[in-house]
Amino acid sequence: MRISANLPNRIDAQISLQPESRFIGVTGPSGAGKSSLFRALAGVEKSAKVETPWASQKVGILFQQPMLFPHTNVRGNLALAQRHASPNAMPIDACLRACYCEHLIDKPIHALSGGEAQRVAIARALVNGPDVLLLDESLSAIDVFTRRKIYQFLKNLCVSGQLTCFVISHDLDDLALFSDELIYIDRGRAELCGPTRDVLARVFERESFTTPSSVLEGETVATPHKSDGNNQNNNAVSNHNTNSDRQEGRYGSAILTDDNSQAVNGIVLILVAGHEIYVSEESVSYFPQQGSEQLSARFAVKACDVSIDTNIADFGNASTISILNALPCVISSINPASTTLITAESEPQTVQTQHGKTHSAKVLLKLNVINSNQTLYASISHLSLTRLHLETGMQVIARFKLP
Amino acid sequence: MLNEFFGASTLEAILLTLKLAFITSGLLLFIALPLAWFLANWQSKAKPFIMSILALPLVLPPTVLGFYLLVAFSPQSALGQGWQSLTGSNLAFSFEGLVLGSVIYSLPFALQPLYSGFSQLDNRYLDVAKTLGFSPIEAFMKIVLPLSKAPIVVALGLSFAHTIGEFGVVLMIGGNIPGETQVLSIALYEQVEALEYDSAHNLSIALLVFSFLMLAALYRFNGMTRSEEGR
Repeated sequence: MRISANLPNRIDAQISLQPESRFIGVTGPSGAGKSSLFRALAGVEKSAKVETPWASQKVGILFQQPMLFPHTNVRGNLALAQRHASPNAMPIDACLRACYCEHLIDKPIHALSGGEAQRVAIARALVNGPDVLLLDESLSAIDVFTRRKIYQFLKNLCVSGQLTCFVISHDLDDLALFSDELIYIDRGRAELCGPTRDVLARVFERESFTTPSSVLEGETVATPHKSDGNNQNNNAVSNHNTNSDRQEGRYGSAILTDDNSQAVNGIVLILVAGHEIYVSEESVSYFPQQGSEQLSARFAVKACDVSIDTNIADFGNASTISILNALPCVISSINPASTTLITAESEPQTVQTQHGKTHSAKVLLKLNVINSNQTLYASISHLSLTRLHLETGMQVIARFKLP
Repeated sequence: MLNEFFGASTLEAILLTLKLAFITSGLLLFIALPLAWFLANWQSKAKPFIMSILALPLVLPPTVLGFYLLVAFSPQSALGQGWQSLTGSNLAFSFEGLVLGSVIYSLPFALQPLYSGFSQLDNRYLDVAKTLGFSPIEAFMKIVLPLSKAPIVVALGLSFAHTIGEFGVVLMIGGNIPGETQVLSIALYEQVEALEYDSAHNLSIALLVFSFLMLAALYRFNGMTRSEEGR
């Protein structure tokens, strides 16, 4: 899939994506041109020159501000969206259910909170039945649990081939969880573009993140505690797909539902490189594996949540600490964490050296998970680095709390 | 009762004025809505000149405007001649001429609130409407007009009230023909000239109260719309 967009003095982006990519994340610094790119792709910029593979398809756009029509209520907004809906558009009830706004149907627009309005805006866009949906930070005011449920719903639509989503977000964990591919926009150009994990790694290097997240994938493990009747809460995808309850085809025969998870007490068990990893339900995204009944699961682990244990003989014997998860890894690189970037979550701690230079108190380890091609980051202190005599090529246990 | 309060001829003038104001403000809405929408979305170096011409009745002495309209309506002018060949009657000193003059005179009072309302409308509503499949005309009818309820009501109210109170232009192009061109302000002027102060008082207080109530209703409506949007 090739996309080019040119808007004089604002964007000049050439984007190349895999044809099977359906959920594409877009990130980049503020003012880089992400929103302009979306406006150009949506066809609302008169001076833009755009080439896309969806020339004859319906393209919807959602802004950070929900832009609900305030002269009518939620029902009226949905009715307006339905006037020119595609023949295969989802029914209003299914859209409302998917966006958790069934109870808002008769509310006036001015009575909605920011998050509610964003959810209604997504429902309105879905009611119109777009083939391509551009979401410009359109879920930013929604709580993380609901947000990820909605992302998962959109992802399911993408997997079933009903929708292609382009999503702008500054939350790299969200993008890491759901994106097939990732685009990094800077100064109006698509500087990076490709598989999510690769682009994320380069973004972390480029922006000198002190606590980057690593993206791990594994297979879901069916827990005996979970009853078979749990899929009573049929999702809108299945409701909408009247021919079959199963989303079959190139993605194999795995079933994607609203409630894909095998969660017990809000915790999901995922097999990563043969090791059982516990993950919070809201931190997992699901997608079908090619030719398999099992669902693949993806989750993100922040570098600051990873601790290093050199006692590899005790891999499976960590019953005295509260950290649940452990993966055997090999240190592939040790880099000083940057002092230049202050992330939203934490400021880098700095120490004063003898020569008066300031540098970070932490180092960033890049770890290769053994028996897997997956990478994990760990942010640890200089003190731990020297105390544990860590060096590249060394085998260690990466222990991390429930993501 | 009204007949006793105002007198038959004054009541006739009141009804004529109301008729003129309704027709003028109705016509103005049809003219000003598309014109204001066009101007709000038009980018050109000529725009300030066009805007100035359209706003001229705001600052021009009404008698000056009335004089030029009188010249334009005369049977010697192209407009007057055209009207005469079409209808067989004169445009000057007729109710139709009064309507045309009032439309021109009150145009900025309808145009300015609409232009200002349309200019302030967030274009992203239209972007969303476009991606939802609305044609430009449908988006205008279904989205822009309902969102511009307040400026439309203000435009209607101001042009109506302004037409009720016009004097100079009417005197120049309409004269003082009872039942045809004698509007309220002219009737009042005539009453004062004839020293009929009681009638003049009655009419003046009625006009004063009407104008006050009209403006109060407009301000109240505007306030309600803003507080609804702001919530």
